[in-house]
Amino acid sequence: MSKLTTQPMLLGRSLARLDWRQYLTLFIFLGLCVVFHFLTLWKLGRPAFISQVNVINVIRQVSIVGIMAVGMTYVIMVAEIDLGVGSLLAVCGMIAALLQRADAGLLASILLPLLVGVATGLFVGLLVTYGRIPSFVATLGVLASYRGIALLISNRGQPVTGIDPSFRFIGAGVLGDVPGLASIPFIKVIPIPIVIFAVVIAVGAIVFQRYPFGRHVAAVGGNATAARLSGINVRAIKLAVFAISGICAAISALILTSRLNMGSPLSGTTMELDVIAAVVVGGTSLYGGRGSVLGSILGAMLIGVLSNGLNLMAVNPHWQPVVKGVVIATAVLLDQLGRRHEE
Amino acid sequence: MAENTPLVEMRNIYKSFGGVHAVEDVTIDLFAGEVVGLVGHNGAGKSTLIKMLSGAYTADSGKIFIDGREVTINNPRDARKYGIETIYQTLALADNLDAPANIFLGRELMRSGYLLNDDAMEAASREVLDRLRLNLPSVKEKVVNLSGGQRQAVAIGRAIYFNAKILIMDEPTAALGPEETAQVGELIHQLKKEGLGIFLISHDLHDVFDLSDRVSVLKNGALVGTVHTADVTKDDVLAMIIAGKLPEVATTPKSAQA
Repeated sequence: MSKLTTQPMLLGRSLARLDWRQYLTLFIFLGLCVVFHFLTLWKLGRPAFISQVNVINVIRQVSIVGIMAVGMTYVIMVAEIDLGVGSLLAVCGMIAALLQRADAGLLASILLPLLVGVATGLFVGLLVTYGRIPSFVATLGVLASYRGIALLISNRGQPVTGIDPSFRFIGAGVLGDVPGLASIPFIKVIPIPIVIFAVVIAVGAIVFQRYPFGRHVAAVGGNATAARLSGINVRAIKLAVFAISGICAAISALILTSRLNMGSPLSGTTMELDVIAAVVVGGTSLYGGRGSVLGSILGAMLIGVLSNGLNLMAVNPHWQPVVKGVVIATAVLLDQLGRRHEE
Repeated sequence: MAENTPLVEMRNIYKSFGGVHAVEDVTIDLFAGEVVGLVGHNGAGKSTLIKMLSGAYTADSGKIFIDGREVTINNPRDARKYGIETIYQTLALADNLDAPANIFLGRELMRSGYLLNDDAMEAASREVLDRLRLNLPSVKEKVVNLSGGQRQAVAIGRAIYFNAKILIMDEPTAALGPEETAQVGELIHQLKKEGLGIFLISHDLHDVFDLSDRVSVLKNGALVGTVHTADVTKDDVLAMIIAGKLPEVATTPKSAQA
């Protein structure tokens, strides 16, 4: 129309094509890695940051939040939110631990928590779609009530122990424990949580990019009315994204319970915020319709590297939430600016 | 023979909500390669009438004929089966996706059964948009970055790719500037040449008068009359809309003339 509007529109256009937010996150991530590498080298006199042990350590730590971030990406893509994942993780972890203590067997201890994760997601999805309750409120309910449930099924808030060694493989095993892989030099030291993480990322990203379901999720987030008029079942899509988020929380619960060798009713407290932070830092818009699974993984890695680097540098741990908060606020600010350019 | 068989005929259609007669005994028709404007005040019944063709509502009584055959349209899926597609002014595009994704939304082309075939969808989109004489710098552009006319073309492309014979366009130019309105005009000419029948719906006569071959005017749920735009002036039609008064040269539906 007028000259005034053309200029920012052209700018927005080229920026949109670049998808600069994700590149920016990538640059910040790589920049942090370089900075921490040299800082730790200088301070500790050895490459403590970029070393095989530490890299594996960081990825393993990130895997818990990262797996949930894959599910959360789907939820946020349709402009919904899932605040219940931290508490759901605790309940699923407690169930796994209780089943282990009751000698229910490996299969039941894995399947039942996964089932609870899916069922919870579907229940939330029903509240949001048919009950017309905003997901913020519905999942706030899960956040509160599931924490209560986790504490109720524990023994007066105490962790549940007595986990069978066979269950330990999920969170504490390495690929070297698998028969036939024990002798392969690099492969054998890769922890199982990282393998599970990789599988979740691969499935999450491929479904997101290459399957009609992923495209429909993007369409519902971009314009739910258009999606409905195009014959997409918007309610089914929303039910599915909450179920995906639920199952991801359950997978993380299995890893965490196995790794800690106990079910803790307080595990996952405020973890929903870390998960949302990872997704948002990764360039997924809280307004829905724009984002990617790989971006969220990058976001999770960035936050993970930040914590790890600050730890290695022996920075006062109370600084960590402050730094994290600044990073998240910056990411959302950049998202807003990008949005304004596009309009 | 084909000359005398309308593409669409809605005959003696009634629809009421509660005690209110939204549409009362309305008969309209549409021929291949023809544009019929459907005009009237807000609440005149034009939207209700056309929603019974697009499948959003079902008629209380009356008959719908497609190509001379009586049909039942209970939902939008039925309408699509008969080649009826509806273009909504701004609602029906996902801004965050590109043209191919929008054109094929909900009906994606697949490879090996379950994966999206983006290459095929891109190629088909380019073909269909070429047919509409639309040159996009890149079809991979998100539609949020397209002009109103280009977006309209994407929406139409979505309809014609799936072999629509009958297009329903709701306020097609209401939100557009003069240049984009002209673009949509050209699109409509192109579609007429391909033999599609088009219903244009608008509460503003200026939007549709120049684009329509005939105009059907509704008032208070009843049909005032149908006129050839070549035979009347805009003022004649305005008198029909406002006063419900037929001009002297008023014509009956085209099918009745033959």
